[in-house]
Amino acid sequence: MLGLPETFLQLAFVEYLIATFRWVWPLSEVLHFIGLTLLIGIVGIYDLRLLGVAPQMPVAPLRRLLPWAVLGFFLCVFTGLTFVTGLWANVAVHPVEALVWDYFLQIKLVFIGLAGINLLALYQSGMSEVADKLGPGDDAPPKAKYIAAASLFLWVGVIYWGRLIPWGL
Amino acid sequence: MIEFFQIVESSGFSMSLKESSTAYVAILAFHTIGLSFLVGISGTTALRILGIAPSIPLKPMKDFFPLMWVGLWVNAITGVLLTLMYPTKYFVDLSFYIKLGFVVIAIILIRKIQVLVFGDGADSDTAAESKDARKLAGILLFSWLATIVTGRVMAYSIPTKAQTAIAVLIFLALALFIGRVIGRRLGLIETAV
Repeated sequence: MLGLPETFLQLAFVEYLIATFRWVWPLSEVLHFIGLTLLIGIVGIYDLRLLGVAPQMPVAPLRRLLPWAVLGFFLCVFTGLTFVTGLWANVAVHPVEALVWDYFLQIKLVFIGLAGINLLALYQSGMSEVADKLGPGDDAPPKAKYIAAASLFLWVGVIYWGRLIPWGL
Repeated sequence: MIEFFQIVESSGFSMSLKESSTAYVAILAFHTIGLSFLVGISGTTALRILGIAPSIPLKPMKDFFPLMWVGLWVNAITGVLLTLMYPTKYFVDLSFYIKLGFVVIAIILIRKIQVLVFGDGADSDTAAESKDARKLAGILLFSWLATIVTGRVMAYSIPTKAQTAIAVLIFLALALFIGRVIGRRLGLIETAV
């Protein structure tokens, strides 16, 4: 499949942990949910402010929450990699097969990539600096609103397609 | 009682939901989306009350609450639909009742925080520094954590449920301790003056 060995992306150590300690997989699921809640909660609040919700909220202080959103993101990445590299131990499906055949997983990864590009656009376009200067009562420029709307759409999409992954296996 | 659940589970409505894989997975997905907004917004508010990012003014956070309540309604509706599909599975599972119990506790705590911190005439930033507000915020975060854990472990055996719950508590205690040390050293954690 794609010229890759069947065991590509499988990690024996992760498979061993999942097979030996039955709590490893559900622990990863719980941490994945905590990560996405932190990420969506904080990024969602930032995006909603740019879209005009809570107009009295100054934007710059919200940045102090972004490290927690980043923490949530990395928690999701770490646990997501646990699911992929240890998949064989849980459902006897090779990760390569999941990546090739599970189109829900593919769409989720595409949405994550697009969310990353959208985030780059926020910084490259200068909208991040413009947003930081928004005080109570200030309205974000249209470009910032488009980026915020895209961000919200993409991250909600990541949750939606991510939830469907088991049905694509 | 089990016969009643079996009647519900084999009803036309329940069967049509189960037979439509699109409907079933969409309901599950929206349950997670609703959770993200409900727990995300209330959890962020609780973190702020506990002193994370104290430069964020609290009062305007009230404007996010309508979306939080939308998340709750999405969860309530999708939760009822999921329960109608498999009542014999859910109503015999103790973790289902524990999850619902913590959801009720969390909602009560959110309402108490709304009155104490965001009530008319309240100076939100000052009210948030009170011991009562911080206690409510801390218990709220714990309630949401318990809700997420019990929701996720419903599919597993009792020993796995218990082991997972203990593993989560140990992991988070370690993460909070290490995170606090690193966060303070890097200046990422401010404390309210």
